[in-house]
Amino acid sequence: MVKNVHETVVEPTTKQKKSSLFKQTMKRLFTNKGAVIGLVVFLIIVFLSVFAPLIAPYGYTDMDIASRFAAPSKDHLFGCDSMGRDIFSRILYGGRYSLQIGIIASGCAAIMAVFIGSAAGYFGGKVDNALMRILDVIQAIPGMLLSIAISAVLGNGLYETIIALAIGNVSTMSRILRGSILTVRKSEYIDAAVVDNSSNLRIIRKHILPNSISPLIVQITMGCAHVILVAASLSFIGLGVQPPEPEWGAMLSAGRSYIRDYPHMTLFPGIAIMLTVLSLNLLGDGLRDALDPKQKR
Amino acid sequence: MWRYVLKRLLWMIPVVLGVTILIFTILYFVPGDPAQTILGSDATPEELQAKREELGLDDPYFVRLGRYLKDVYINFDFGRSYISNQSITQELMARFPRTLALCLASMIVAMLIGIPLGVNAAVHQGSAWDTISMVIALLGVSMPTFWVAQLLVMLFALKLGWLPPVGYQNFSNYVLPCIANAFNGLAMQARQMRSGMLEVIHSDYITTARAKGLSERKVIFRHALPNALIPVVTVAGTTFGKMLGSTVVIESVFSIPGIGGYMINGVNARDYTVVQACVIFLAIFFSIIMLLVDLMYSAIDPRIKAQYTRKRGRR
Repeated sequence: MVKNVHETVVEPTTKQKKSSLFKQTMKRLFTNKGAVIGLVVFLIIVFLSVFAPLIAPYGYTDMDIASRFAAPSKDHLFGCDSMGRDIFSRILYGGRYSLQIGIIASGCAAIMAVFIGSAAGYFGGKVDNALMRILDVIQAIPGMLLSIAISAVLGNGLYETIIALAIGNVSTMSRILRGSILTVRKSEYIDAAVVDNSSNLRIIRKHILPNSISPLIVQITMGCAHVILVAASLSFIGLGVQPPEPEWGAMLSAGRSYIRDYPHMTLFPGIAIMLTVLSLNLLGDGLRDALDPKQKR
Repeated sequence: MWRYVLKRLLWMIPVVLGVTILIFTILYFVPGDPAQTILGSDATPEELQAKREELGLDDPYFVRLGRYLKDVYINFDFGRSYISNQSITQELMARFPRTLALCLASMIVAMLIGIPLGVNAAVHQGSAWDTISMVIALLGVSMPTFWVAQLLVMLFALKLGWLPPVGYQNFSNYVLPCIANAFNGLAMQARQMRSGMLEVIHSDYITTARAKGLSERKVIFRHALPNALIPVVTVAGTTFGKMLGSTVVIESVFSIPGIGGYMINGVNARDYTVVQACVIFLAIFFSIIMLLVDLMYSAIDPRIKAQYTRKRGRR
């Protein structure tokens, strides 16, 4: 009960402040040309993937032996693959895999990072030391190799890949959040909250996280881009999401044998990956500048 | 300073052991029966059981872990491949020089191009140079490494015929893989270099240096660059790790029989002792590189040295 009363009193002021800060950030974000382009391109890609069944002229498994290896034309915008499947349609459907993997994996990693990072940053001392040493060990393995090992165990498939990539990204994100919590931790308002007899959980939730989360938000965007790249690499080497699913990396892998005669099989899925990752990177750069006005000159 | 070096060296031991235990534990849960993989599907239950006992597969987890650690760190033996029954250590040693050459060459290319690109962009901030450099850098961090490799093969090997598309014997075989592998790292370095340089250029001591009447050249190269390089050194470690990961895929694109190729063969053949050995081997290699980076960092950054004489923990 007591907690509820407390919350209703505090809520309006924090909300107000938060929304104005949010508005300021958004304003800065939307004056950044790169970020706006990134956001628009990303939203277009999301739209195309979500409505793939309506937009795609063919199904992603529709085979047409007559048009095997067809070059890009009016009928087949990006041409056809070795089984006469329309590459444009497959890329639209493939976006669903890449986007799901990117968004869910980086989101899960961020949630885990919030727990690990705030435990380490807030409690400090032995907890911090123990957690950081564990992360040291995990980070001693290059991310790609860790993801290969985990997805070798879990097997191929969408959710298996998401888990493998999420685990691969936790350590970087935890470290970033911990670093930013360490600076916030020293602020006077945290001391005030401690004096106020707020519980640790409440201090973390209400005071620490809102003030230290912005580097993590930037990292989620960048992490999403990174995850999409690694997921494509995994599919390319035969792990992760595999054919006949139209994953972009798997499509590039299928195009390998025909790279000499039918380069369009290699060209278009790669462009799709590049545009998605590029838009996320542009957005991430913009977010970083918008959230940290000191950096901007 | 020497205390730092010693402490950092000793810290390597738990990290390397931790990595081995972690990878062993992850791959301990691999589904399937190695005995079945070795003997094929027509083996009798008795044969399978005998094989399992021979390999010690029925032993408890800790016994197997202990045996593996002893094999790897005391006998320097990663075991034998389930499929070919060849010594994994020998295979790793035979393949390592190719992976090493590819990684180091890519790293050098990345630094030689990335750092000047970033410096130039920062010095001419807002100019066309800056825009072009940053567009290149942005493309570099956004293109999948193996796709860059494929594009290079299409243009320089298949279309123009200047360089061989696959192989590993000659110097010319390594040109395309190096460029492909360096592109991403180069972009990361350039971006880091630019933002580091911008931060330094706007600091007071640069204004002081200019006020003293130093030439712009001197201001940039004597005063700004050394300070801006410090964060780049840290990024170099991370970049190297990423390159090590992408080498795995690059080796597969160019059919270079390095450790990455070995690992992918292992994954495809479900030969998990090979996968395990490759990941652990590359992780140890990466730890050594990170150690060198940290030592270099402490050597060039006087703040670390000072921090350490005041006796404070790592990082």
